Amino acid sequence: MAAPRPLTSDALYRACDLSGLAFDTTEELADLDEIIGQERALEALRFGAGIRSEGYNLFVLGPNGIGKHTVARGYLEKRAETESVPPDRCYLHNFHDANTPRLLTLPAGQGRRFAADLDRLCDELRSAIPAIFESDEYQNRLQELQRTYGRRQEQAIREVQEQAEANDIALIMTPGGFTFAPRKDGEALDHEAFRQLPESERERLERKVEELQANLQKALQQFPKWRKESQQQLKQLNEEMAQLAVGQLIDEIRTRHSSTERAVEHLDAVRGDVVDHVDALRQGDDADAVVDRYRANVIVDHDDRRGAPVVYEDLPSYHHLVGRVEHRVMQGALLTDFSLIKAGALHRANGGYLILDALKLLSHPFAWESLKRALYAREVRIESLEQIYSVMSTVTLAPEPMPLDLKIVLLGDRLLYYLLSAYDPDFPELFKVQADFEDDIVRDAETQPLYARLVGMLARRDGQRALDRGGVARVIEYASRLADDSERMSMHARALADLLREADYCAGEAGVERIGREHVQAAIDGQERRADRVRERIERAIQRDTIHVETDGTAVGQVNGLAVMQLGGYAFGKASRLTATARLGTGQLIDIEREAKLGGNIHSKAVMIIGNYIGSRYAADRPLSLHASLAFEQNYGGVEGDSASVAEVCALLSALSGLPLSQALAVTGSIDQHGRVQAVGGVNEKIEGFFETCRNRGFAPGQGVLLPKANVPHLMLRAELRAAVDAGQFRVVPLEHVDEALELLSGLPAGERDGTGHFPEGTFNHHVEKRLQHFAEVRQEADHPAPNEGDKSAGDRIGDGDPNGEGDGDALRPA
Amino acid sequence: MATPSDRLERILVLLDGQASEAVLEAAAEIASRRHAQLVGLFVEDSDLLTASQLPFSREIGLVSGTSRPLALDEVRRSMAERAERLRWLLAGVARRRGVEAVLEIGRGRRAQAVLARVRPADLLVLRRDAWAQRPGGLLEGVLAEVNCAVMIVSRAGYGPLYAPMVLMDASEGATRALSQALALARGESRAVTFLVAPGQGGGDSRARVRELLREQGVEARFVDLERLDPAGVLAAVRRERPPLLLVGRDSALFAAPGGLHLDEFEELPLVIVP
Repeated sequence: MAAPRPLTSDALYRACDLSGLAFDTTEELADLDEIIGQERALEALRFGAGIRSEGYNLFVLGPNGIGKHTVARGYLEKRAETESVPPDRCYLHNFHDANTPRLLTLPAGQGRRFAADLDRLCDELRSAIPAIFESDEYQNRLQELQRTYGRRQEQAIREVQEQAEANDIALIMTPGGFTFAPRKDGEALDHEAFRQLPESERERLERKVEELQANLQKALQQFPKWRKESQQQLKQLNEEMAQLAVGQLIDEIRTRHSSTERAVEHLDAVRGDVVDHVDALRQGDDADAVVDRYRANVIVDHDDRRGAPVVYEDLPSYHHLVGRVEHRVMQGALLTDFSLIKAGALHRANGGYLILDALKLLSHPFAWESLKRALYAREVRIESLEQIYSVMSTVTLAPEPMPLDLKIVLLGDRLLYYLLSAYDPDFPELFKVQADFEDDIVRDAETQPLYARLVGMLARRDGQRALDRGGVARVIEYASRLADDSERMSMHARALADLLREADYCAGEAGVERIGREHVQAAIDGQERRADRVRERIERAIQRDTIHVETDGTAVGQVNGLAVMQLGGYAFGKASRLTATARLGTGQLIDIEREAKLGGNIHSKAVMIIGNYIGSRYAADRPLSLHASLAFEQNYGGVEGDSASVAEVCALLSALSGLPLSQALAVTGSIDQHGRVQAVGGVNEKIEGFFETCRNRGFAPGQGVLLPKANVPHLMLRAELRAAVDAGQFRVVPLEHVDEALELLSGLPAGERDGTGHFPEGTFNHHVEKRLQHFAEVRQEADHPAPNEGDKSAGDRIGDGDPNGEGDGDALRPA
Repeated sequence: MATPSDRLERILVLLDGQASEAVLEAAAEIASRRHAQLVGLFVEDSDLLTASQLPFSREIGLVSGTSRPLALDEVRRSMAERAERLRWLLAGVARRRGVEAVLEIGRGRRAQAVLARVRPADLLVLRRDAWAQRPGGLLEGVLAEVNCAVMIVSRAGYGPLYAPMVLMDASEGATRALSQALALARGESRAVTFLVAPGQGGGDSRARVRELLREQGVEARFVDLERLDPAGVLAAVRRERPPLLLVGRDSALFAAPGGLHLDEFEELPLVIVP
């Protein structure tokens, strides 16, 4: 096997070629018309915003900080400009049912005017009504009406009284009405005197009294009818006067809004209500309460708007979404009316687009459910939660619902999208369009200049200094490092914008007009410096041997693995000592991390793969009589992932064979069951972590890192490391097979099976095989003593002595 | 005939059970301001008692117009209940207003019972209602012979009697009306408005009146009437909005064609001075 060659420094970092950046500073660059590298997401946005069918709302997904909000909002605002402005919405008092305010829809801009017209009408009513109803003319006519009514009653009774008096009968008032009594000389006759009258006279009087009673009854029964007539006349008079006071103004407003049926209906209702409440309007005490019912509560005003609305609700609570009905406290009671109805984001965005953060929406109680309800019903209904859940019995309103026609655009990360898709059956019904944002874009001669324009645009937007070509190049390189890939650039807009702000600050501190490469580098260094306290403490512990990591010499059953630690937004790598033990056994491989519940599932899987690789590679035709263990030394925080597989298998084979391995090298990479090395993540941080430890101790010969060959395109390593590589102080070697790692670590050839099926003598694998064979023989002897008649049956046992008879004998079984 | 005094000793209020609270409050208000005794008068109508003895007598309900038998016992019980209720009402009002009050119960015809009790230093307070105003009714009966000022009210809460208005015409009662106005509004009034009938207030009479009132710390204002008739007076009242109008009983206003209907003055307290 040809030994893999260490990478040159060129392969460790892909510098940005300045010749591809044809400008001096970003000042010369135009803004991007459209975000780069997000064609799929933009296409989805275009589709989702354009299709008007039900349920075609959008979910914009991608990692936080990628710029989903900016891009989606920017696109929608641009699109909305070309769309029609939706109508204004007002709530009006319902004169038939005050608890159900009426919704008024007016052409855009008309809501405010209608409300102003009604305010003017109210002002006019407050002054004109008292004036006209206090006028002599009205008072005279009112009194005339009252007198007419009074006199009509009076006259009716008087007629009966005159009839009575003509017959010497008195009309006498009783507590509840009238009675009649015969009289003589002006005095009512008592019973005795009445008895003394001749019978004929008594009969005459009785008949007369009966007749008078009937007449009086007839007269009194007319009173309600006359009262009604009088009230009707009074109403007509009031109407006439009210018409005189504000009729012209009402007609004027009515004409102005004649195309809106509900506005006309409201004005007609106001006209009628003025007549019904003339007394209140005259006397002033309750006049405000009366006229305030005539006003309009404009909840959605598009007067100054061009195009459809694009609303972002940053606090999508239930009430912020669907609106609310406020109350005012009056003498300890909670009162409300149509003027206290407040619009929610759904009202404001109706006819346009509403952008919501999905996580915030889900974390506010009832908000998600209310949104779905509104979308299904295609209307938004303002209801208090107390009302819905019958928590309080305060009188509140049930305003007419508003028809809903808008697009909801949810922003969230991918996990949230997939969880909603899996667990909420309504979600796929209502959010049929996903706009999936790429985390990064390809880095090539075509995209780098576009990225430069993006950088220039961001700097300009934030009022920062322009960047020169060097500055832009360093930003592009940084974007590749963020993407963990030299062939791609991160689209994490927030990280990019932060870097530019900090670079601008550094340039300002340096007193220069342009942001150069050194300022971007200073900003990157500053970010690292601010975040690396923990990394520094760990490195210090390694230097002081508190955490034991060997960086030179050799050791048996021990390899330097590499781990990545992520703390907040900062990741760094560190070396971690991996050790293995091996002894005679029954095919068990103990993953100490797993036993201690510090290992994750992926790591467990990796250990199983190692067991099977060793079994199939070295003991395909005999029992694997081995008991082995693996551990990450001084690891107290848990292990996950399979990136230590290569290191683990090397440590295990070293322990098995007894051959020492170099400690000057650190290893990362996962393996498959055939020993092929596979790519892992975080290679830059890992390499830099081990490099840091080696440099701090002073370089020793042969130091470096072995990594999967597939990871080479991901390398974007820092300048000091590249310089050390150039100086021959450090090396980075790509691997394709675990045998390459064994050769580099042991200095021995790994060895391939020859024609006899054995590994050649002197090779690493020969030592491994030999040791395993030895274990098998010892095991054989222990399990099968010299045959005799008595225990012949023992030689027929299947397997390698597994007491359960379950082992397959050619692989290590994780315990 | 005795003439009314310019000093108020008693406020005599006729209580009949119907809307008595309002008229009682109005009377108590004046009694409290003028530190006068409040006398409530309830008259058991003898005609009603007599009528209710007749076997065929029935009561026709004022509101419903239905007829039901009228029994003496029922009428007596009703009268006793009303008297008791009025006594309780009067005591409550007196306690609240801090005035001395008594309830007198008379029997007979109401006008005669009232006239039998009033004295010149009294102010008689009557409730304005259609039945009382009818020809031959209570007001007619009382006003014709009463020897004290009569205030006709329709509600309580008139408030201070600043700037009362006095009809200044050729009647004898006009001068007494002025005295009564000053008596009613003493300590409160800063002005008296004279409604001057055509032909009155000539020469130096206005100056003399003005001087006379100034001595009492009261300003005199004069409003000329174009004609002495109900319409002219009403228009002036609506314009000036006085808290009180005092008219001499013998004023030509009452003899004007069509007569003066008290209900035309709406809620304005009207004081008729004999």
